Amino acid sequence: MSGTGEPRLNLSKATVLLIQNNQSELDILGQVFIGFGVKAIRKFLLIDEAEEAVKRAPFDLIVADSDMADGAGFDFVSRVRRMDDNPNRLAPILLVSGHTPPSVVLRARDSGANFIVAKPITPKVMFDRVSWLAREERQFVVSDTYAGPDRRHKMFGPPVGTKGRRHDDLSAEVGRAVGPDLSQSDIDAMFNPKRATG
Amino acid sequence: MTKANVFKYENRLAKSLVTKGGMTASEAIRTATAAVEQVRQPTLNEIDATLREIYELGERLRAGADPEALRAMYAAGNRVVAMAGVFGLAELGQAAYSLCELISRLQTSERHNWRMIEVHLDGLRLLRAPDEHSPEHRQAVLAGLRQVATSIG
Repeated sequence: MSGTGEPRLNLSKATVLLIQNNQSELDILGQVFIGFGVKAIRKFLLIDEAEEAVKRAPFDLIVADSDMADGAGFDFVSRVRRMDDNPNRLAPILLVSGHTPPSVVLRARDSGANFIVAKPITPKVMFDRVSWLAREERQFVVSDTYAGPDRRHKMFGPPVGTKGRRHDDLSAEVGRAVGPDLSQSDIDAMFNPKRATG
Repeated sequence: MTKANVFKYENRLAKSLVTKGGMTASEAIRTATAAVEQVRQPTLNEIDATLREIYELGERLRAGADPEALRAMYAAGNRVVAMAGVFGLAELGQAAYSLCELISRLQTSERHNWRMIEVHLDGLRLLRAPDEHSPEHRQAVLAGLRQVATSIG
């Protein structure tokens, strides 16, 4: 941390791929990342060309547009998450969106994007989101119907009415207690572990 | 239903988090704002071209229902949403967002209502020149547009 405690990002060695559905938005987004100090920026207006680039080289961040015709931006994210022959299956992906009704947010989440950001994309909005992405610690999930970061941001267990599909999913029903109860300090230690001293 | 495969993975962006060097948020935002400023005029030109496209599509919709024109107007409105707020035209962007919301609701309900579209186009014209109107007037216009758009259930 700096002296003021502000978080710092060094993106000078990051490689970023940008896909937008028109030149003006692509230019704005490109300038934002230039301002952030990114030197390696690949910019695309066409999904096909972006997809070829994704197959060839790893990117530290992909920013795609959900406003492309026929949901092509969402489909692009889904394909990146599913393609075996690409080095970006696990890459951080931001989707940016203009008109963002709940259906768009859900579609973005289900496509496998890490996050959706509402336009207009100002430097402050994008820096906040990139900082958030850099701290991302969610696990990756691959199932028949989904590939991407864990859609459960908080551990509330499996969806209501289901047993869950993960080996560490627990039943919502709590069994009878066995063994002694945990003391409050035991519980506190589980939530806020501290290094032992002495 | 098969089991999901859940695993930890390396976050490539994590290495950009540093304690020394790089940029703080305020430094990054300052340099990025300066960089974005370089595309101000071309973007304002593009906003005006997009608004003209919206008004021309409006002429088709004045004549009656036209799903293709409505789709094109939605796409154009979305471009204004993306561009306007970056260069001090946030209220214009909000009016464009309201237009997109209206179109989305008209499409879902398979209705056509030219008056509702027309009042949005009037709002866009007014908010393209925000300095010619008081903040209270601009906010009242936006509130009216939102009310119109959300009146379609």
